[in-house]
Order: sequence, then C-alpha cells, then structure tokens
Amino acid sequence: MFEVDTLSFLNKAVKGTALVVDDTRINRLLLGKILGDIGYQVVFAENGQEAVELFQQQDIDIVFMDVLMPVMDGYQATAEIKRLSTPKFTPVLFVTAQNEVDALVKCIACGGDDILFKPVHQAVLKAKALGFERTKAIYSEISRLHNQLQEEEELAERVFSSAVANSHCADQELLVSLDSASTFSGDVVFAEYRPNGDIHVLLGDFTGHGLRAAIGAMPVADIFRGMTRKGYTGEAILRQINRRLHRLLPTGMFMAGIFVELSLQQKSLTVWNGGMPELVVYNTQQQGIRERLRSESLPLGIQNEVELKLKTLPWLPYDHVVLLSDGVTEALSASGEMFGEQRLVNAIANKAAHPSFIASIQHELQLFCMGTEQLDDISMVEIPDLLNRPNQQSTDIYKTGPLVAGQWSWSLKLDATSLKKFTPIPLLMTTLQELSVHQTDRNILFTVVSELFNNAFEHGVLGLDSAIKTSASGFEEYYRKRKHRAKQLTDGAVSIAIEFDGKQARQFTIKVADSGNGFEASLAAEKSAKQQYSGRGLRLVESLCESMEFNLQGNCVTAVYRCQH
Amino acid sequence: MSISSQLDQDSGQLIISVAGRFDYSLHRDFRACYEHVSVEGIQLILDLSSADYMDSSALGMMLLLKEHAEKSQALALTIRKPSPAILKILEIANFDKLLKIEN
Repeated sequence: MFEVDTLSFLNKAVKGTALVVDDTRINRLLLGKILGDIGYQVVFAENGQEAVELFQQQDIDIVFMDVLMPVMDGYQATAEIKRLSTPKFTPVLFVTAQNEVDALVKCIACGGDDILFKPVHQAVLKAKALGFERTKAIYSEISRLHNQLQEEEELAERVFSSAVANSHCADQELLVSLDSASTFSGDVVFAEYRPNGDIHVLLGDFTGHGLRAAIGAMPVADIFRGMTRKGYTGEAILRQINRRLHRLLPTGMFMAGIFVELSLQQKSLTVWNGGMPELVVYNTQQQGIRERLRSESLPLGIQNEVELKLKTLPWLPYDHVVLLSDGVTEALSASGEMFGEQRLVNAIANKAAHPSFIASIQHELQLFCMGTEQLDDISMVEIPDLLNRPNQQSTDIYKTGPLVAGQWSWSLKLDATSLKKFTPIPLLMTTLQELSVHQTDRNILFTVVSELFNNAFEHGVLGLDSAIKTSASGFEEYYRKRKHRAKQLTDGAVSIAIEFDGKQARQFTIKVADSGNGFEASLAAEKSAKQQYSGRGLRLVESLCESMEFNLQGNCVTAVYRCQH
Repeated sequence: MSISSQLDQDSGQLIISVAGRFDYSLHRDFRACYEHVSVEGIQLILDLSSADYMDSSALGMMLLLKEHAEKSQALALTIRKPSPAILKILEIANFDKLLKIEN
C-alpha cells in the first residue's frame, strides 16, 4: 500500500523551468539530463553572475546552485536571486559534494532552501522538486488571499470614509488631525450644526483599532448627525449612542469619547468626557490653560444605561479647546518611553512658534518618536477662537425650499414629570420640517422656541436667577443648580402653542407659558422691562421677532415671527 | 510567559496574573485562562501587580472576564494590586466604578 502511494507520488510530473548553475560542463550535463527526464525545461549558467543575469531575463521556477564558482559564487548569487524574486517564491537548492557543517549552514543562511549531495539521485531530486511545488502553491495562495484581503479592505475603507470620515458638516470651523495606525482608524471625529448654529463635536475612540474598531462608527455617525440636526441636546444624543452601541457591540468593545457643545448664543461650552484624556481649554489672552476636563463617565456601550456627567462652563473669547485621543500621550519613543502629559503640556505652552496647537503637538511628537512604529491611532481636534471670528456660516447653511401656505396650530403642555424626561424642541423641529417650513425659518424658530422654553423652564419652573450667570464661577453654579433642581422637581408645567397663518400674514405666533411666579408686575408693566429680561436669550428672541410681549404677571410670553420665505 | 493562572480549590480562588504589557496580543491566552475552568462558587482574581502598561483592549478583556464571572456564577471579580500607571487608566475609563479594585 505504502509502496503504491510512493510510486504514484513519484509518477507525478514536475513542471516549469529549472536553472542549473555550475562551472563544470559535465556536472551541468548530468543534472540537466535528470531534470529533463523528470519533466523540466532546463537552462544553464556557468557562474553566479550569469545565473543572476539569466534569472532577470527569464521566468525561472527552480534553481540548482553549485557552491564554488569563478566570478560570483553560489552564496552571493543565491542572495541576489532571492532579493530579485521577492515577493514570489523561487526555491534555490544547493548541489554540493561538501558536507562540512559550516558550508551547509551557510547555504541556508544566504537564502537557499535545501541541499542536494552529489552524486544526485533522480528519485530524491524529483521528490524534493515535488515538495517545493507544494510549498510554492501554498505561497501563491497566501499571496492571493493577502491581495484579496487588501482589496477588500480598501473597498471597505472607501465606503467607510464616505459614510463616516469625509462628511463632517461643521468641520470647516475646526482643525482636525486623524493619524491612524492601520487602514481603518478606531478614532472618529464628527462635527455638526444644531438648527440654531450651535456646534456639536464628538471625538470617539473605539477599543483596539483596524476594521474591528471601525464597525461601531457608522451607527454613531448616523445618530450623531441626525439627532444634532433635529436639535437634540448632547445628553440625549449620547444616551442614544450608548444604547445603540450596547446592543450592537460584543462585550469587551466600547467607545471612549469626548463630546463638546459649543453654544454661540449662550457663550457656553458643554463637555462630556468618558474615558478620554483631559480636554484642555487654553486662553491665549491669559496665556495659560484655563480649564482641564477630566474623564468622569464610563465609555459608551458598556452598560445599557449610563450616568453621563456633562459639565457646562462659560466660553470666553480667546479660548482654544483641544481634544485628544490617548494615542498622543501613549506614543512611544525608540527607547520605549511614553510621550506623557508633561511633554503635552510643554507642546501646548510652546504653541507660539506654530500655526496651531495641533501643529505644535505634532512637532513635539515627531521629535520624540523619531520614526518609531505607531501603535495606536493618534487623533486631535482643535476648536479655534470662534468667538473672535465673524460668523459667516449662518447664511451659508440655509437652502431654499418650497413655500408654505395654509393654517395650522400645534400645542403641547408638559407637567413636572414630563419636563424631567422630555425636551419638546426636536419634536417641534420634525413637525416644522414635515410641514415644509423653509430651513431659514425653521432655524430661527428653533432659536426662538428653545430660548422661550428654556426661559420658562429655568426661571419660571425651576426658579433660577440668571443674575448668577454673570461671573465665571456663578456660571458653573447656575448649571449645577439647574441640574439639581430639575432632579428634585415635583411641581410645575410649561405649555407651548404655535399658530401659523400662511394665508394672510404669513406669520407664526408662539406662546409659551409656565407655572412660575413670573416677573414682578411693576417691572413687566413698565416699558423698560425689556432691560430686565433675563439673559441674552430673550434679547435675541426680540431681535428675531416682529414683536414679543409678556403678560402682566410675566409668566406667559407671546412672540410673533414673520416668515422670510 | 506574561500571563499565567492558578486555580486553588482549597481557598476557592482562580488567580490570573498578567506581567508586562497587557494588550490585545494576550487575548487568546487570557481567555484560555478561564474559559474551560469551572469557576462556579470560585473567587476570580486578576493580579496586575507585575503589569506595567494596559491598553483599551485590556479593558475590554476585563469586561469579558466580568461577564464570564457573572454568567458562570463565580463569586466576584477582583482586580488586585494595579500599578499607579494602570490604576490611572482604570480611573480615566471610570472602571473603578464597575469593578472591585484592591491594593
């Protein structure tokens, strides 16, 4: 049985072209005859130099190499042939009479694949040749699979980029640097406008990197963009992302991230940090780091419901906000040392010599790493001093749409329990969109209604005094109190009613009432009451509307907005 | 070996120890430490006293171990003696709220 198998193996035909390299004519003829008999086309070279030249000119499948030859010996020629044949596999077999250990080791060390001893036995030679054909087949299969994998990864990368990476709507406001360790980055950056021009930014870092890490990015992109455009708040968006990732990702995979809401009207920054390095706010007027916001929450996707700790702070002129992934501080130098926080702080302090904080950090990183292999994705986002820049986007993002006619009204009343759970603005925005209200009008209505609603909720229902917000420490105090009181809330209500008259005046009448005590009657009665309106919000509403009036008690406001489109 | 495990039936503890860099390259060996071990009623301990660095994949592996402990009714999962560098990573990710860490 065994014998039959051996015979059938040796009866297989070998294929291809063999190159025989030997300086002795008789050796060439002998080996050539055997190779010809077992099925090879044979070509000859008299020394290493000739062999290399022939190898470059012809397709050679296997090489039989003598050791000692004039001009160029077998070791040198083999090294050269191996260099030329990569990434293909061309077996080189040394044919030698020597059997000293040193010489044998040298044959393999210079790139040879096997050794045959003179005199060469036909069956041994054929068996070895067939063995190498097997190895070659494995080699080419691996190389085919490798190419296929690369092609698929490139295709996936293109799909992924168009869905995730290359479409941050608000990215012209930001400086973004994404430097991934492989084709796919596990880090993602999204930026999008809310309907009132506020900007949401999210820097996310998925567990690990590569394709594994990138799969969570698509749903995050969809939720982030869709909900931001509809006017949802950061907290609602993060909750939704958390739920989706929890459902989608296997245990052990999650997304650390930093989220920032930049409110141009409130002049505030609302930040959430879940498992990322500190967010840094650097003020170029004060020439120093003004705020560092440490991670206070779990990353997203680990638990179904997660406690999100969002912090609101004032946004000052000359503020530059820097968001980083851990790839920055954990970048390694050639000696295995980590970049660390001190070097990062130094890079931030040395910004003056560079056009941006990112450029300064990149410069430091480059000097430190000196071409060491990058192990993790390195991502940075810088929000420049937007408050000192004329804001042009407000006109750019509006598109034209069909005109609305007809009449309709929409109203909603929320009690304390509902107010704790629900923000009515996104619902209203969806309604306005369905009713084909032009985007410009929708964005203005978003601002008007959200300002009036926040005013009713914060001052009317929660009884907060906006005078606290005038100082920086008071600002934080205000948002702490807001959170605390909202949690404790048991009584109170807010109602919103919107009427649209598209036939006559083409105007919206917005009425927002709350259960609070309102302004003091004496103040509201006077014309100068306008100056007493809490905060910038109401002044903004007044500037956008035809009219805005409070009732005598001050807990019900009616604003009239006339359509521009 | 940068990862090892020891099951002590008498004390009722399975101690998994990681040394050096705790990252994705260990995930197979890490899983092998507990996957085919009956841990019902056993206390799981992840000893990190000899680990000097950990990445987010390691955090993921801890979550998998925690899930395994819960599913297979092990007593508890305790992270033992993390170095200051590792403790900092655990704190940044707020894993100190999720796992029992003892020094």
